[in-house]
Amino acid sequence: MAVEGSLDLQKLPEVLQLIAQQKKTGILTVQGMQDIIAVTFLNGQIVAADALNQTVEEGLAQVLVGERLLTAADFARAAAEHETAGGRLLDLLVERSYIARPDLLRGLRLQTFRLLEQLLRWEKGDFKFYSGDEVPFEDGFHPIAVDELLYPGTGPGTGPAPLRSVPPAPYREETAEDYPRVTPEPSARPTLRVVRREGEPPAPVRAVSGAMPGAVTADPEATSPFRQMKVEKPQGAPLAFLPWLAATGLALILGAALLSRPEALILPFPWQSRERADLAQDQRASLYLKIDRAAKTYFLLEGHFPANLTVLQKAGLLAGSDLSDPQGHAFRYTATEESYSLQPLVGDQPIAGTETSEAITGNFLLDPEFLNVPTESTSPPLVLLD
Amino acid sequence: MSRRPARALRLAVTAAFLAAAAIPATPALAAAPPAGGVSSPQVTGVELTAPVRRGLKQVEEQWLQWVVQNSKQGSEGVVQDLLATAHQLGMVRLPDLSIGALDRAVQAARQGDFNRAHWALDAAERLDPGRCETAFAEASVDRLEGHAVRSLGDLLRGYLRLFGLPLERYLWMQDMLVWSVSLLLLSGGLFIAVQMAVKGKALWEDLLELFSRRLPRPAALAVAAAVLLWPLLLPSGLLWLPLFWSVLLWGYSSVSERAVLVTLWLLVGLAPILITSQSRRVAVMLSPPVQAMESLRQHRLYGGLFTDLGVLRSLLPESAAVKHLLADVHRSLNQWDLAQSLYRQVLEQEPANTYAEMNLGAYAYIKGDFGSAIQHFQKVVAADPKSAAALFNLSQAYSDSYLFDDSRRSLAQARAIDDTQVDRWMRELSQQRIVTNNRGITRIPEIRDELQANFRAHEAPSARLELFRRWLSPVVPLVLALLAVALQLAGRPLGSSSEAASDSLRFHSNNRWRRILLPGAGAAESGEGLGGFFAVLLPVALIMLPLFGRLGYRLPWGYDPGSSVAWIVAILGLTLYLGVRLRMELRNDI
Repeated sequence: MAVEGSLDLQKLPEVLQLIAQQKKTGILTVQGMQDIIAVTFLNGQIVAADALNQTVEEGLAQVLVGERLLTAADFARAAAEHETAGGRLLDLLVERSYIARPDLLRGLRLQTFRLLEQLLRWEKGDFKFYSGDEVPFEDGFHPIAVDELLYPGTGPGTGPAPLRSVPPAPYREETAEDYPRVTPEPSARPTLRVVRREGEPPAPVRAVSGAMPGAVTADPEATSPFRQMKVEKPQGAPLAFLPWLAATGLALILGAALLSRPEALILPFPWQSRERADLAQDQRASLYLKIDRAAKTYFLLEGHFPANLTVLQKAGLLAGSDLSDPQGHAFRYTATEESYSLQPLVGDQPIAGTETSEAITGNFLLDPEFLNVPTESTSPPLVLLD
Repeated sequence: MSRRPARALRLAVTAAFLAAAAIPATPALAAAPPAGGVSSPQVTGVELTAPVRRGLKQVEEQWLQWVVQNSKQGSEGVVQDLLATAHQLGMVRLPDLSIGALDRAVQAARQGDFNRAHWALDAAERLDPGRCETAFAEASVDRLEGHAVRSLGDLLRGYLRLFGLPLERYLWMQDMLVWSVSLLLLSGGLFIAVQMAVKGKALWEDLLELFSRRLPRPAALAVAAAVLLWPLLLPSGLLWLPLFWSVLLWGYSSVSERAVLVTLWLLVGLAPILITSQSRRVAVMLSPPVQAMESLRQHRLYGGLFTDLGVLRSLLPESAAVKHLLADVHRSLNQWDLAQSLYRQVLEQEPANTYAEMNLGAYAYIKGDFGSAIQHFQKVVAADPKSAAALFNLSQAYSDSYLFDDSRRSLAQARAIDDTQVDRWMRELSQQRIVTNNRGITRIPEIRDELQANFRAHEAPSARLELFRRWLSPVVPLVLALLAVALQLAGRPLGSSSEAASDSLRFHSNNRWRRILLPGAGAAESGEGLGGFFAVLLPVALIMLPLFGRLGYRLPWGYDPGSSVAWIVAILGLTLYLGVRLRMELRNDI
């Protein structure tokens, strides 16, 4: 199952079920044709859902008014108050006694459910799951099981045992003592709960809620999953970087082998040393043929072999890579009046069995002796005497 | 076979003959021709009569005339003369002179004389039409002249021309094979490296957990590191290390990743067989005798042609195919006396060779011995009644023997078989009036196979040992597969549980830049085997593009195009690739 993908290839129920089965914590974002929805998971259960084109407050308003938990007029009044007072609208609704918190949470759950139902109707889009150790969600929110979403009739009371409003053991709710530097404002209600597994060291959490130092007011965006969470990774096994380092080393060495000993890449086994030598010899033979043609072309034009191979490279008859053998060894080139020799070197030492030499002998265009046309014979003629 | 052993062999043969003849080994005396003005094969490779040598000398002198030309008209005139002289020798191309003209053209362009450069290029094209080197040199001249687009077009034209040249096309295909195998193997190694980079942490943790049960922590760390890296101690450790890792990572891989790993194992096992089967053929193709034969087939007269043909004869002295080929060479040079001798030798070894018989009949006809000619042609007709050429020749021989009825009957039989061809012969055969064949030249593939067999006979020390070594490499993938399956069945906690194998989310990382810059990392996190492999393959292919000619065999073209095009494509391709990956990653991110 892919962490990211397309709804064309993988159906959303499968993705949700996989996350639930693996009890993952993180945020699943689904980008549809006209909207983006983020679903927050905590241990495989859904604890929040947000849409880009609709704020939580807007969706919640529709649900609360529709379920007659709140009148439209009351909501409008609360919204107006929220604009002047600031803070979270949800907190203001409870504080001003427009609605009781349990009703608010039920409404929020219903709004989440409806958003998820809307999401399940999407047929096109891309999804991506961001795993994390901590996720933001409304305190007291009754998580929604994926089965409950996918199989109607398995809701609370009819299916699996109702979920508790606090995370079950072995999870432990953190308190302020775990973060002594965090001093919540008395007026600010902690809106997020951080949970972690027993035995895990506390991960420093930054910019999670309005209770954190430095935040003047509770930022409604602070609970939005569209905000990136910054969480330091928990400590892993010692020397965990070793496989990564070894893999990098292997990649570098493979690249070096490609440049210095390409025959070792395609004939890698230790018992293939002869085949590697043969291949290298054939590669050298093709290079020698090319150099020979270039050198003899130079001789054709200039009447002598070049002083060095660089002259041939500058003339365009050879490439720069032709000035060393296929294994990267530089050539020792020596030229005489009628011949030249080439030998690859390792340092200053020639490599035995790899040298070549060519001459103009036997070339009718270059060898002046080749076409010696016999002149008239100077020997006395044979006279037959009667 | 390298040129060095061939040349050493040539010199050895020369020395042996000279020693037997007790002639001092000085070039001047060795070049002294025997009676009849025929050159000694010890010096010229094959015997060359005086007219042929004069023709070759004329080529050399006309070339010198061309070099000093200062005008387009002068150049065209000399080129015309050169081609006419070559035609007299049965040739139509002069490759050495063409490359010389290219070099002159580029030199002139560098000096700013573009007029001279262009007519020198025209001369090069006429001397050896259709060569890629001419287009490459033209590209250089256009670039120097400031026509960048035209230069690029010439470069592309040059590369396209490559596929019309037999040797270059063959070597290019071999290069493609070597490059492709290198690409797949390197990508496979990097794929395994990426898998280790992404999943190695989980493997490491499992190894530590395994060894920590029985060993103290520091010892467990050391043992786990040793388990991970011990293949480096083996010979060819760089090969065994990724293969070993692929077995370890088997338990952490998805089905598609395992399929990729199995394919890589098979490739590692079979690639050496593929490469070695081709490398000996390449050696033969690059040898001087095969170069000479291919040039003969294309009627290309290069400086060392006759010397290289002499090497061929010395390597396969008893081969009927070689004698037939050389006989045709002599015939095309109008050296009929030398040709008929070789045709007779061919017939002694191959009595049913109607082509040699036909050419012997042609020789007799040219010499005026019509009776012998008729006998030879009748033998051909008896062996091959459907041969229109034999019947046509027979009719000609009858006609010159005043046997007009027989001549008419034979001609009618020839027309009945192939009327169009007979008409063409009647029109084109002005001087010779007789049809000959180049069957010997068409036996080049047979000669190549003989050379290869000859080469192998000198090479393999022991057939059984050779067979064992060759087929040892395919055993390796079998062993790896067995190890991987055994590890999985043993149920060791190295990711072998179904949970670990399917837990793709376990390897997920929020590091976007890792996924962008490390090809295949995202796919490795997701468990997409094919996607991960191709994500590595594409950038590696782009990086390896400039190495195309270097990994395999150098194409022996006379003017090198350089690798600028490959570098440009590689750099642009990599930039585009990274850009697309970044865009895709950003598009999927919130």
